[in-house]
Amino acid sequence: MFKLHRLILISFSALILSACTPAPLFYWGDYETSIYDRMVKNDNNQGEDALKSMIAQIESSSKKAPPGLYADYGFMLYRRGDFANAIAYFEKEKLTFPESKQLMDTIIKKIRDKQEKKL
Amino acid sequence: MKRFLIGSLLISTLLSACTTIEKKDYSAFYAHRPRSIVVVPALNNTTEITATPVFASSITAPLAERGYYVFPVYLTDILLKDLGLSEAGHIHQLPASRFRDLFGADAVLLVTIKDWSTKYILISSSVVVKMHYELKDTQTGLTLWQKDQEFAQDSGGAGGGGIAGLVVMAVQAAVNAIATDYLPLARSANQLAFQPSTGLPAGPYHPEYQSDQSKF
Repeated sequence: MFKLHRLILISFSALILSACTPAPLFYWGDYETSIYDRMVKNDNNQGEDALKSMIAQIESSSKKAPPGLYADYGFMLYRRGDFANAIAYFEKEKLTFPESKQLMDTIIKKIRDKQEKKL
Repeated sequence: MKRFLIGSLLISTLLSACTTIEKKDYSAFYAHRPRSIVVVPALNNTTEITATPVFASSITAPLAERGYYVFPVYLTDILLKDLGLSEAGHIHQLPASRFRDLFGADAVLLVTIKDWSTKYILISSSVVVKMHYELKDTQTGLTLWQKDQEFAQDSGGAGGGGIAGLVVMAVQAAVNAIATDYLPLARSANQLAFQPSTGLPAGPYHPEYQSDQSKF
């Protein structure tokens, strides 16, 4: 009888605790570490490999990309001068999160303008 | 009976770990339900200059995990700087509608860092971060939600008695001060800030979207 009580108590406690820490909606990997590298350490290079490997993991599994991942990676490509792939990743952010449409379109337009000037 | 008492005590402790009792008015929030939130650089009222960028690297996951599209904070920072907006004080004064024009964001989160410090009390130290959060609707300029959240961590003062012990502690505290990592504290504060019953209702990417009103 006491065992049953204890079992109920334990499962109830576990339920309450799990209510505090639900399964994450997105796969975060080292995304925030890469933001820290860029914004606190002013290091733009270190984060690139981290984002690249996150994207590879997301594409080979059912993991979900967090908001901003594709856009940030797109910006890294843009910085390197790889405009075509940069645009592809900004498009990907827009496709994954339609809320980003206006901002992504603005950025893509800026890159296209720059591309035309280059030609 | 004793068992029952211990049991209820345990449950109430667990419950209080998740909730704080304070009723907020969510009518403005429910009337405008944002899908996307842009977090602009935090206004720093402390002397710790790295507080703003460290805070920026701790806000995306806790906010997005509540179900919202969070605009990339690094790109947000760069875009604002491109427009000559590099002062948080200036950015926080802008009409909220500017963030709809610039980003297409439904809401803007304005954060003020109120405390970001290590406090020494005799032989122990305590690391504290405290923020004020204000979420504004970019269509109406209305405040949809606001909250203060503090998170503190004691780095204990166990061991060594006497003067020698105090000296050791003082040296340890000095070493700790150099390497104080506020990032996990900021992250914990952000996580707590957005949880029910005084946090943000679930957003569109959350399974409880539009069905968690009873929690607030």
